[in-house]
Amino acid sequence: MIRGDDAEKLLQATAQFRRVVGFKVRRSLGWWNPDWEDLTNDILALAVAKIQAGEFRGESSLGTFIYSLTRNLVADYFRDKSRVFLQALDPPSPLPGPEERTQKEEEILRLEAAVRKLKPKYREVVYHYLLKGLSREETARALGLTVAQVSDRANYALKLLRRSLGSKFFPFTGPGND
Amino acid sequence: MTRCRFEDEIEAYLRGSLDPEGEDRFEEHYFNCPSCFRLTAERGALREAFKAGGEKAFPARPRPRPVPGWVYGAAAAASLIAAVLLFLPPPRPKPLPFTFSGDETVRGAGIAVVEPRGSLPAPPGRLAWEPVPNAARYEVVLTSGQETLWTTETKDPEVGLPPDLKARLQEGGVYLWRVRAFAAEGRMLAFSEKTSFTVGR
Repeated sequence: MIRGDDAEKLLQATAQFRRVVGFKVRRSLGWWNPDWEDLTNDILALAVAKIQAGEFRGESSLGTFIYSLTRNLVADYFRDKSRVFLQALDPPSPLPGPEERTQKEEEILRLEAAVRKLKPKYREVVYHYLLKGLSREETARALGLTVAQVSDRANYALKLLRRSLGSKFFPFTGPGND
Repeated sequence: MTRCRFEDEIEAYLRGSLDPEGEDRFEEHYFNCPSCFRLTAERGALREAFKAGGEKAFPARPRPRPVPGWVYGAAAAASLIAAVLLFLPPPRPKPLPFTFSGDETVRGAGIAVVEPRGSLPAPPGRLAWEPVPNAARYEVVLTSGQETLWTTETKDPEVGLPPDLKARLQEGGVYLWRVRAFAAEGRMLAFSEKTSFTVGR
């Protein structure tokens, strides 16, 4: 069992996983599902409780330990949603609420402005690669470019979009993750 | 700076084209690799925003390129494959991923409401519904807006409203009620939709 200063350090390190857990949860539940924040908090609270109870013995990395908890709690979430406990009267709606809808609309407007600033040669790569979800190889075929050209343009376009959209657009990245 | 070997999997992960084991392995990796996580999260957030915004995020659509000749050949081959696939038997549907235990059931077992519903000239004397087989008791809830006005239990498929409650049902008020049926051991068997009625209109 890990005790004393080591346990305290582990607890502090656990808090650093909020972003990575949040990203995984949001991706699993659906990006605009409002339940993601509650589930993220539940996972981190469980991680802290398990560390305090000595259930994390350092046999794996802390990241792997928290990933296992995250995967299990996400599976539990879907299990609970796919069946109905007979005591439940009104299941919560998984649809985005007004707050999420407003946030979504704002993000689209900002994205539109950022895309407008791109040169056409970057915009067409972004269109196929990010909007249509094609791979770099497929984008290259669609645009008559080489894969290396697509990679260069996609990387540069991502850099420009990141600069143009600012850090608030990327809630799961930024200082503290690197 | 060395490039992580998992970086090549970011794209496939975000497109959902990794197999389940590959996805697990990649996710466990980015829980341990801040560099891969940063790239994955950044691209993931953009992809999701583009998915939500769709074409709206592209005020000026990119100019289509002239179609190379080989594309026509590929299209012809794809048509041939599609024609062959049409004659294959449809794939079996996947089984549901989860099973139900004894104390659970699929939502949808409903109770048919008899009365009251709709517009009433005066407060109703009773709430009534179709009996549910094997129901030992029914639980009734009457609400107005966010306020619960009355809850009660009964063994019969109807229940009379107490006089003091009837007096509280104001003219023009909108009221909702629902009923749940329970078996003798406490298991819920069925429930009704929320049913509304108004008084005096």
